[in-house]
Amino acid sequence: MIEVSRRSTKTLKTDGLHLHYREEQDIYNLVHYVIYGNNGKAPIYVNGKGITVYPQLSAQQIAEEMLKIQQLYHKCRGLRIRHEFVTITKDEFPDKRCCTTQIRQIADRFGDYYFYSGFQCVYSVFEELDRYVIRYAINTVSPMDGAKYSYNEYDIWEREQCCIECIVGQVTGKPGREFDFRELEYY
Amino acid sequence: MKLSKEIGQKGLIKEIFVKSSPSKSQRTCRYNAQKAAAHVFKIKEGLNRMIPLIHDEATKEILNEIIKEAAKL
Repeated sequence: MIEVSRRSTKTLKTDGLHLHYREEQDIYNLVHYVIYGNNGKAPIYVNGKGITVYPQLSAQQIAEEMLKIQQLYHKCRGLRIRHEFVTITKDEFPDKRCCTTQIRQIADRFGDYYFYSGFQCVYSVFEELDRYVIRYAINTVSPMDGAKYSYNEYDIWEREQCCIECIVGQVTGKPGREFDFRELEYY
Repeated sequence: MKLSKEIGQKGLIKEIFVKSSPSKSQRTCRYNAQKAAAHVFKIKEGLNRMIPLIHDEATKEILNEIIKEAAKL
């Protein structure tokens, strides 16, 4: 099973996140969660796109970078950060020895989807018993032109789902859907 | 003569211009900052991709310095 999901409500979930995604503090909290994890669960891989990754990833620095973009474009209302996550069950990986390498490649490649759409993101891979969960914290304001990412449109969700299925297919060698990165605005 | 010389200096002329049209200047400044943000966004990603491909320590150090400076932008 490969599935893209998103969260934008304050409902308390099993991962302990209790965010509204509309305050400055929520940006920091989500980025912190993505980088360091919580409830004793640490990610197995962390990276980002369009943000400062080297010499080290810092939640404070990344949150500030995202905030600066929002202030620059005067877009400090509504949803400030998006929380999307991709769930991939382990049976999607035919070669069990390469799971860790492949899930990193998938996370990076799907991060490119947001980068080439013009958005900053930080992401990490969490390993669970039967699945991997890749969590993305995405700045809702584009540094390229200040556009806000539409959150609830079905078309966007469908495109993301198509993209991730294509990437998983390419990385694992299983037949998947077709997706062309050239469709993206800043490819 | 002295006064006109002073006014003629670049800094003073700039100051008078800014005071007479603050909104236009601010708009230009913000527009430039937004353009710069778009470039920084792309540059940062380019550097992030380049670092893992470099195995020479000296080059890595130089790139790290550039990234540190880019992080301040």
